[in-house]
Amino acid sequence: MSELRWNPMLGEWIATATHRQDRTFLPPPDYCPLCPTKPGGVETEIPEAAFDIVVFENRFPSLRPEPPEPAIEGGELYPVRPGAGICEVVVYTSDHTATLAHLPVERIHNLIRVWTDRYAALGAMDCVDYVFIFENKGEAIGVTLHHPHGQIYGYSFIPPKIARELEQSKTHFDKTGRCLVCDIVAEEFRDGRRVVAENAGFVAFVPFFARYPFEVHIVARRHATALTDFDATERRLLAEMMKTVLTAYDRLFGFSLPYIMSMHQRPTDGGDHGHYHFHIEFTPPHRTPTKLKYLAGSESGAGMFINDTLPEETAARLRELAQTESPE
Amino acid sequence: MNEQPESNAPDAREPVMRRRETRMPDGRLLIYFDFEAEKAETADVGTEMESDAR
Repeated sequence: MSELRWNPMLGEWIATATHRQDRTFLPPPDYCPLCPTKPGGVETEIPEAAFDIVVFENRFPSLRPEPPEPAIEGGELYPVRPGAGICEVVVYTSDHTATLAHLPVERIHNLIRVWTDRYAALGAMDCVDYVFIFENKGEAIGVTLHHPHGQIYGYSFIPPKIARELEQSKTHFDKTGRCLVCDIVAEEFRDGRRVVAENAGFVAFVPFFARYPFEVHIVARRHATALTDFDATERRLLAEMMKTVLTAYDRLFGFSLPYIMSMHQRPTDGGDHGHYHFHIEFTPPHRTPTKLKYLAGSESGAGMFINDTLPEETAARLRELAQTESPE
Repeated sequence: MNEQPESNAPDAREPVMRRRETRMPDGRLLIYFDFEAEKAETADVGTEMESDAR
């Protein structure tokens, strides 16, 4: 069963996807569905052995281009609509043991081109108003498959966090005539204490308002609203910046750091979103090598985050790790 | 929008990106993205994608 149910308290959609309860959960390497099918081996999602990057529709999607009718009737208080949209899986490499951090810059660059292709293709679908590219990495996040991969959700609506950012960006633009994130970038450069790394196209910083101890945002230095705005040079610079940040992450505690990667881009609903600004948010759950930041009472119950660290201090640690040596 | 300095980084060359679309037995879309090792002549040639539907 899959449908969208309206939450009138928060003004947001909730997706039910009961079939996902049966999805593959932490299989042994020989049964990884994201590895290429081996001759005589278990049939996986990827029949061919030779490929660079693969994208396919999720076997257990939360949203579908042609969704079934809702299992329950909606009403004025509780609107219900079909779970329209699309869910894709992006397999970064055939190497089961790799991570995005360990991929060469060239492959990350290629991956950015694939993401760009999917942003444009899914964004052009009638049922998609927002293309959300993300990666869940590590069991601490709740991943069910270790093979290096990310996901793309094409929503039939603008999701709540993005909607709030759009609203804040629009308010700031109407008030000042400037892009909110352009102003944030300028402030981070002026202050300097929270900057982790920079190159000609992008800057990485722990935001002044970080919710997680080692949260990092990678932001385009020029005003750009989506992956499709970037040229070849900028794609390369973005790949280099991602490599730098992810390498610093893995040096932080001496193990491959779990994280959520969220790519924030302009909606594809045909609206005017020129005031929005492309960025990638990384939110690792670890606050120490052995302790996680849980979303407990204040965070889950009230939506108010408490950060146990100072962004200026965590940024200094990451900056040092990012500068230790070239990531390549 | 704010004025931003233009990037003065050297133009990056990108390999040609080829996409091969197919369908799984259950009808789901599957796309292989392959990148040629040899570099393209211009930076944006990678946007000229080839589709080899099978």
